[in-house]
Amino acid sequence: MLHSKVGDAFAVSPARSHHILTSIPTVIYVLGVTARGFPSEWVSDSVKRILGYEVEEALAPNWWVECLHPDDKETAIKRTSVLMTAGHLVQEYRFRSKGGHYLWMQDEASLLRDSDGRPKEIIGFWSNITELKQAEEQAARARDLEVEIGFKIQQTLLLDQPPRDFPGARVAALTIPSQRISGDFYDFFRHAGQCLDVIVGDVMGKGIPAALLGAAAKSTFLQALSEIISLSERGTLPKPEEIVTLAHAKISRQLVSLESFVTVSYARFDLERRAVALVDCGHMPVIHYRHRTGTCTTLQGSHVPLGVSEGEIYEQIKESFEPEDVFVFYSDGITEAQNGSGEFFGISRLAECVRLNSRLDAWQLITKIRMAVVAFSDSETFADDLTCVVVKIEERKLPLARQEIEISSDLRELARARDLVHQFCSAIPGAALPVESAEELDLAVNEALSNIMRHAYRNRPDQKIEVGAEAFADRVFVRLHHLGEPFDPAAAPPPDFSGSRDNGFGVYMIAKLVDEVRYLRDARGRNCICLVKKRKTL
Amino acid sequence: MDITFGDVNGVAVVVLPGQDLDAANTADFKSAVAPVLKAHSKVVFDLSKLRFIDSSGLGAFLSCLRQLSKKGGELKLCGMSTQVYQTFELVRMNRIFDIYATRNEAVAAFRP
Repeated sequence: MLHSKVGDAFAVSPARSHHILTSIPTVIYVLGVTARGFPSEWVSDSVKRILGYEVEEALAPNWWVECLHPDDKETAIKRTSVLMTAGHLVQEYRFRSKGGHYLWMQDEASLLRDSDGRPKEIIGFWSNITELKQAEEQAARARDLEVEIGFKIQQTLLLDQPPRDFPGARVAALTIPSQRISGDFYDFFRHAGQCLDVIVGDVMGKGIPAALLGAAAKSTFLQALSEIISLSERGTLPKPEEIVTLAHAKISRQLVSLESFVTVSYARFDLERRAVALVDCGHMPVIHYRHRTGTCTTLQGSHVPLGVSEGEIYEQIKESFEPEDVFVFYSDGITEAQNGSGEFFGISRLAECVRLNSRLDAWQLITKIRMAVVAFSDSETFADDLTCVVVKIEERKLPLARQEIEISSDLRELARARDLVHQFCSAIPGAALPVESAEELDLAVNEALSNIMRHAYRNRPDQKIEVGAEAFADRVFVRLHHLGEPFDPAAAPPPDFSGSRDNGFGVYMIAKLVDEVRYLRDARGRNCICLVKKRKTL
Repeated sequence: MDITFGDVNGVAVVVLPGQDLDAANTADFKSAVAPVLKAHSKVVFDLSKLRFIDSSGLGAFLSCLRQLSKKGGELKLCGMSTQVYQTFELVRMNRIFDIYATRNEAVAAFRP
């Protein structure tokens, strides 16, 4: 028995055992087992060095209970009962030292029984694990900080908002960040002539290094694009394969030396020619839902990711599309989401989800995809980032009429803008808007312009506002572009109908007068208020 | 802005001169009409020339109404076009103002 061995050590060489018991980094104690509890019977001299108490103090009744940290006391006391049933107990708690500060202690106790199997005494070992605990806490804080920094990098550097008003295509994007940030990124470049570039990428690895590499890769594409544009003849748009090849030449050496790589889908949608050009750098196959056949196919190239082979010349593949077709770009986080039995969500489930919801708007479709993945994996949190971009091709109708004027931010221009809208509405070829609707649109335009002049431009009368009107068979759009402060309609207080306030009706009136109001940032970075008036159907 | 007004049985009748009352001219209107509101407590605004009013214009009328109410006076409106009336209705100002079809009705509505 351990106890008798300790006793033997005393008998054989008291000096040596005293030395051992004062210098070990552990406090050893012996507790009796009685009907009323576990009275302390013996404690090693090391209690003085580790906790600062004299042996006599440590043997006093209730000493242990009184020194326990208030937050740990109840649990620690309750758990001692485990000793009698299991015979062994290891627990950690905070314990007050003689100096008054708390130390983290690990307490490992065993119940010894006599030859008849009756509980005899408890022998325990106490170690100071404060430093270990502090290191653990620091590591946890560092992990939290990394998640936070990673999330900020992702939101500010990796993910751009998809364009909201690109004519001929509706674009939506979604990211569900995982616990550890990964380097998923996406970007959108708008070009004149109805071309939209969609770039979706995924950096190998996780954590801040992956996020930073993602940010670097993303900006390299923009750099490559602008470099080629500045070197080429005016008006020619560089091809995706040229942009990717140059971007790769710029970044591949760094990627190789960092032993990392980046998968990318670089797609250009040409809405006029109804064709998409894709450079696939080892990314997930693009899902293409064809409205005409009601089926999904995948679009996939054969190139390796950026950073794998330094001299790679990237080539694009082409495919045509039609209105109502849907394209879905995604990271492997989606297809590799797992359910309880370890199955992957997979491309076919994703394609089926796209097919079933293809009639929905891009944003609604992406919500369905998210719901499907969440339902499949029965979880809202994922091991990897879930990134998805949906492009839905729209029937591009040519407007029946369009007109643009530029006015200054002088309130005296309001009347001119109203006249323009009014005349525009009454002169739509073959489809003049009813007078009442035109008057409502007029008033809405007036209120929106007045807000821009007085608030966005703070009454400066020399700024510019572009007023554009566009008429389709079923609706009229009026867009007001300005460079003043962006306007947040949600921040406007509700109107006061009691007559006690002279102002604050504008936003309410606009919402009442037209069918849709959108506050957005246009392709040139200007703020835009878009008013939509639908033709009333009989 | 030149405001003309006539006195009909002790009621000041102000005819709004322009077709538009919007953010560009409400300040003008308010200062032009201020002397009338100061000198009289029974006031009618005749809006029969007005074709368009925006939220600033409504705000100006509300301000006039409050000035008169403060000294126990009254403001009545008349001669509104359908379009102008609809703008009042939009923000429920038809419930705040006394509105009459004609100038005579508005004047007659004041208690002697």
